[in-house]
Amino acid sequence: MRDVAILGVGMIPFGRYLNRRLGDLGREACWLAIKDAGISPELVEAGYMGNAMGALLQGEMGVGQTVFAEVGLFGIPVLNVENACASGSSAFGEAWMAVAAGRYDVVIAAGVEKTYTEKGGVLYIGDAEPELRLGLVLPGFFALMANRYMEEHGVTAEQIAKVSVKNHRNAVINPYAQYRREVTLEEVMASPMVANPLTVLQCCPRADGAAAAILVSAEYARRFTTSPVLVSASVLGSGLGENPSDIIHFKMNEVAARRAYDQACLGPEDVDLVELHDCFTIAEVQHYETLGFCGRGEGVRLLEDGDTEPTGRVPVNVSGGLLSRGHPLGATGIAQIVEVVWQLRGQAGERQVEGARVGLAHCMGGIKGQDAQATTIHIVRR
Amino acid sequence: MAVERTRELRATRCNRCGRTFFPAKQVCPGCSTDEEIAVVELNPRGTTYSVAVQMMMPHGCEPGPYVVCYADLEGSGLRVFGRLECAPEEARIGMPVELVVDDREVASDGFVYYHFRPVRRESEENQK
Repeated sequence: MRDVAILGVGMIPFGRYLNRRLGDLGREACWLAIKDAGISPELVEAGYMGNAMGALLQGEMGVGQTVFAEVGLFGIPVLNVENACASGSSAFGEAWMAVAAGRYDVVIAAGVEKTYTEKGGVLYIGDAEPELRLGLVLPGFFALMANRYMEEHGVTAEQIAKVSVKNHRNAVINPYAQYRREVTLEEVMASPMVANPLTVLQCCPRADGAAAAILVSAEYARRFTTSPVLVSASVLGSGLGENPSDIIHFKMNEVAARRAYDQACLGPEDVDLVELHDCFTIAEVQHYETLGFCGRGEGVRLLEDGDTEPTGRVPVNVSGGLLSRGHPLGATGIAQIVEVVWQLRGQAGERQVEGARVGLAHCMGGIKGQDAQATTIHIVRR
Repeated sequence: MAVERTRELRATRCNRCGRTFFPAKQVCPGCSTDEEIAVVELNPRGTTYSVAVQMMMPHGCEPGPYVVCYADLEGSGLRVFGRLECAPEEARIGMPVELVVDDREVASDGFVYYHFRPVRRESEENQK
């Protein structure tokens, strides 16, 4: 396997684009990434597109071909990747693999999604699992996680809700976030209940969005820059299917994190910033633990000590995370990587984490039994 | 293959690896065999592992609130999800419950709808 670099990145501000199509949003992000890389589009040898719900919500298949054609990429192999909420990061992982294995020198990975529909409410994610068939919605699953977590670790709903306060505060200075308004803990707690103890401000909102990255071999990247951003680890795993499973600590997270740290020859103590899958407040708390930033049951303390604040020991979701950016499924995983790349290049503007050299992006999607369907971890360094 | 439409809650036990699965599985997800799969009765008694009150339900279901839970079943040790038939304020972790079949038709693919309902512990009954 050879080293892979991220030569260019781009994303559009996440929001509500009712009158724009998947092809329009995707084109903008891809074009930004191509421009950022400083390459001519005809050099791109293959394309990987993350999109989860296009067939269901917009009636579109082959979203990758639609988007890539908009920037003049015809004739190349295009693969559409659906891995629920981790579709974008899974597409990125396939793109990485193709370059690492030596198949291509230059590829594009992108993610696009439109989740706003005329009808609101909880996003319908099918009923393949008995849980879903029997009426579980995702906020309900994470509420079950939160209640058990509180029971076992003796923390309160207010303590968990503080994740929302932090991430909303971070988003105020991120022009790419959908909700850029600070919220108080009182507001979070008083917002409408979705599934107790999770109020609506503790659940990630819908969003439309797109993000893209150009991946090249490290050798190729050195023609353009002396200090390329390199992918140190790319890991994809699926749920372990254990029953009973400890639903308050996603087992696959721990397995994937160990694989990623091994691949990168780094440990959690080497990570300068993290973008992780805060689909619900409780998710962020348990990710701190399963990704190795603190011990089991210590997630709330890590948060309250300020360790995951932008100026803390390990800043988490300086972008505002899914909770403020919103969660266009296929775009989210790549948007996380885009943010990390900007940070490592020192291009994150007001939200720059000083001296960041190693970043970790974590994304997960779907429910399979008592674990996630897909979990991805990417470690990127400069 | 014909779809079985029994209203019983059936689990499968793999006699090769000894694990039990519910709902029933044709191929053992524990050791990937289809040779020694036995249909077994599921002990419906259990204890809630976690509970939550959902204010929203998926499209097509009546509006909430609904109590949902994961419960650990006696014997099989399986952790099973289901709606819990109790008032939101009564739901708590550690509640004795039992799994019961819903009062509705079995789905066309044979899926049996089920839920949990609270049961009184013997000690409580003795106090009466």
